[in-house]
Amino acid sequence: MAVKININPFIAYALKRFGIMMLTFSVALFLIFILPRMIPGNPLASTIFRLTQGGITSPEQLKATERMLLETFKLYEPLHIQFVDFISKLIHGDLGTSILFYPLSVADLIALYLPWTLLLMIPAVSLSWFIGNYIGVVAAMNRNKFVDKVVLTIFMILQGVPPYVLGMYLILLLAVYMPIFPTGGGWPPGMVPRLSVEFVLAYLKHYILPFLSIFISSLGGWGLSMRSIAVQELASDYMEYTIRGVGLSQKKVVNYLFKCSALPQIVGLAIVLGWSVAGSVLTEIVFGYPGIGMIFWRAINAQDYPLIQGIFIIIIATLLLANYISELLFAYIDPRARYAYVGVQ
Amino acid sequence: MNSLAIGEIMSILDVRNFRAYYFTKAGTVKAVDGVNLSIDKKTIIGIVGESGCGKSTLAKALSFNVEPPLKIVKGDIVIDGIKINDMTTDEIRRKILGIKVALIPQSAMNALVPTVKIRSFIKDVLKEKTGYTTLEIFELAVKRFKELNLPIEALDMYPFELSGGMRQRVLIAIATLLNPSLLIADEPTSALDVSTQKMVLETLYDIYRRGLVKSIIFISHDIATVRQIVDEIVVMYAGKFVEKGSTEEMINEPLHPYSKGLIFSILTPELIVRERVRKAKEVLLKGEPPSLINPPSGCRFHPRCPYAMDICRREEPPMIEVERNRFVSCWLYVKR
Amino acid sequence: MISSISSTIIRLFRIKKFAIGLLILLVVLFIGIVGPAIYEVSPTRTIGRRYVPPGEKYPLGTDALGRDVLAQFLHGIRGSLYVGAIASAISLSLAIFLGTIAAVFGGLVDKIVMTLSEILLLIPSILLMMLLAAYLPERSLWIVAVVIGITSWAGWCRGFRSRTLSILSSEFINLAILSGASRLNIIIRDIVPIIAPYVLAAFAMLFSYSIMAEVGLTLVGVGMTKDVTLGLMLYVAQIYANISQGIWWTIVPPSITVTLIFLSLYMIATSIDELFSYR
Ligand SMILES: Nc1ncnc2c1ncn2[C@@H]1O[C@H](COP(=O)(O)OP(=O)(O)OP(=O)(O)O)[C@@H](O)[C@H]1O
Ligand code: SF4
Ligand SMILES: [Mg+2]
Repeated sequence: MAVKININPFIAYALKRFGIMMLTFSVALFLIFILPRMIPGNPLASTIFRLTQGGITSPEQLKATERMLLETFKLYEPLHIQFVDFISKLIHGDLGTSILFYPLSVADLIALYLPWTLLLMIPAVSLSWFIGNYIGVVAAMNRNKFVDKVVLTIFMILQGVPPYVLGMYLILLLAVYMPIFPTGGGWPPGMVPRLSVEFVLAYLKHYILPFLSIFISSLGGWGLSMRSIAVQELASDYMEYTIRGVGLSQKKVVNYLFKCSALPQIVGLAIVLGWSVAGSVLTEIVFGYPGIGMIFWRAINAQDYPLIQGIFIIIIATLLLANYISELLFAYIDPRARYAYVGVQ
Repeated sequence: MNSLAIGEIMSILDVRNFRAYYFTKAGTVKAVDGVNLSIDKKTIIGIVGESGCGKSTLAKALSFNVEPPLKIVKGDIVIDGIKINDMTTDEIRRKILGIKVALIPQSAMNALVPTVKIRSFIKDVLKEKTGYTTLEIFELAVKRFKELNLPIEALDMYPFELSGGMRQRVLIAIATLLNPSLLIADEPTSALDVSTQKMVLETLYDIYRRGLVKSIIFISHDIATVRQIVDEIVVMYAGKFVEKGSTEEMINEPLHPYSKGLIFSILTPELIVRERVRKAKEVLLKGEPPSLINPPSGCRFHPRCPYAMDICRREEPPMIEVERNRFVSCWLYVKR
Repeated sequence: MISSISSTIIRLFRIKKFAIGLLILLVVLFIGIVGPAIYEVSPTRTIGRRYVPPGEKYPLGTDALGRDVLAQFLHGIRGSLYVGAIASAISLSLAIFLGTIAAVFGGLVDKIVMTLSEILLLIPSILLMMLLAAYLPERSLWIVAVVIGITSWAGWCRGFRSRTLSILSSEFINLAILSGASRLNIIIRDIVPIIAPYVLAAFAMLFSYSIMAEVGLTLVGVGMTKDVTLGLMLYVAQIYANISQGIWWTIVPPSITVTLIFLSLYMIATSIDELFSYR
């Protein structure tokens, strides 16, 4: 009867998923590598040519950029050599040098901007997870009653409104017509990020609207999925017994229901957090918020291929990793799934 | 525990002309349609019948586990002298469930929340119903688990970590922690293998013997199991009781044609020989139980009954007491 | 058969959500199809001063380049609908085709399709789209639609596979196989009718997803460059910082319409889903 964990199935599962993750990452890397080189006319080559022809004024910088680009993409080499070079640089953490922010390296740029993105996304997504799920459970407890219908309608509309659209309206409303908040940016121009009360306050003022637009627009998705999970849970033998067989109070039942239904949602949270970088791009653009999304946008508009490529790799890596973690988390955290995967007995 | 003053005059359970229907789109399912049951002494009663005859519905209704489409249509429920129909859902929840009456549901295997440890479940339930401190609750739980020979470690496990039989026994222990007067166990032994069945039966009997509950209603489709611990057997058919008597009499000499079929189909052939029934068709149940939306007229068993007479199709047979405490509802036994 | 289909349709319309969704969608479709034909102003030519607010001369004002916003809006709806239709047709065909052959043939075919779709599911299609689109120098409506279409079939492909599998394991298909019907025959005669409602729901979801995807791609700067769509309107508004200047007329119409299209299709898809899964 003692809990004896037979570890093998879990490790097997973890290894299998790891394999799939690595396979996917390789496919993604291959796509990142091959696409610009395969598309007719080789846009990479022509852009590099264009860039080295004009745009950059000082001759030293032109020379340096040209050398750097040739070094980064090695377009003069045969494809397979290029690929080996691409991979070996990647393994060494070398993502190349940005054209737009020359001479900053892509890795440095990402390290510089990523924290701001995470600072925006992690609190907004987590809080929205918690509150959305809680409302979802309450709606499920009151299913088909008035409260439920109102919540369902609001959540459905919220789910249809992408965060950037919501962001546009928030700006129009709370920054233009009622100038309470600034219309964009991360902090007032001229200010330099540092840990002072003055800066933090100014930052928060810029932070609230993008935070709200992500927070509010993700409420709907969490709430709706939670509601449907919780409704299923409510029909289960154990919830029926807890509610009507034993007669536990409403408050405790909500608690239990949250516990049972939240487990699959935790996986969702991990995945969405992995999406942070990708998911914040549009919101950052709309708000001009200085995160990865913002420099991604600038990179695309300036055709800064090393930077575009680097950000793609980072986004896909975080996504895959978060997905992997969420899979393991699910197998580990849910006693039922743990039972199925690990075979506790 | 001293609620019974002198002797046991107060009835533990009393229901009269009790009806509970499912109101569905397809029609009204008259799953429990006019049953009388009163328990006025410590006893274990078995209720048997084919699948779909309304046993679980009766169990749910008697333990107030009622939600749409199921509704109690008629009949008062009196438990321990308390008339319960007038109470609000909230009162029932706080004062009756687990205290006066407890249910082991048919789906007991999955009745415990999988993400909550047994210990916290017990704590949450008892906190609300008693006001004991956490420590007192755990002391009570440990004491009870020991009494019933259940492993204390089970308290710190999740339900799925327990085997099927253990889950069933733990649930019985939890449901009776507050010594309810009446325990209703719906098919507590089905879906278990024979040796596990025996352990569950022992636990049930243990609870009864130690006086932790006054009475048990043991519901099953399997007479062979039921007879091992019950004092009385009630046979249910299509939402009604058709026969009632002591276990001995019921097994040795079932009166109602349906009871005969039910009992002979599971018991040893020599009984059949003793009954001198030559035509096998008389004792073997043929056909399907009837629809409870449009039950047959008259005696509900008549389409399947080898003895069916004219009157059986027209009129419902009354429940008559053929001997002391021996009831049957069949025209064959009505003296006219 | 006919009567059961019509009774199903009647029941669908009884669902309020479905009726509202369909109404919204029809209105948007009507505007997108008929609008540009009635309002004959060019969406791409400069016709006046920039940022003229809505008024008599220009019903929805002009944009940063002095173009008529109403004309842009009407053509934009049409463009977005085109993108949605083309992209969802492509991804739906891929999903049905791959999902069904994976289920029917099983074995190696199944393995390949499943692995491919698993990989595609792990790499979000919006990223693949960006990746593809980022390197395409000129992006027309067709190119964007094709890019969206070929990257978004994976999830639905799995759905079709599992539905087909469950149909295949049912009684009457076994009978058909025993009676010697060919595989193709089985697909056409037995499987397609059963999964038709699912196809409809999938189409609605993919359609709305594609329209949203175009907007997202274009806003990031890797989407539409040539044809007018709702995404391009928002992109232009974004580039010229219309929001912070309070120039609402270039933003509100396209953003509300995108949301409405998404919501209406979502309502339709979920109603179909509910009706057929709760039977
Ligand atoms: N939720 C429900 N809605 C409608 N009808 C129901 C519902 N639950 C049960 N019934 C019907 O009520 C009748 C009695 O069901 P019940 O579960 O009480 O039978 P049972 O004797 O316990 O059978 P079993 O041995 O299968 O448990 C059956 O005809 C059943 O179809
Ligand atoms: S009343 Fe008639 S039909 Fe019913 S059991 Fe008795 S003999 Fe059979
Ligand atoms: Mg039952």
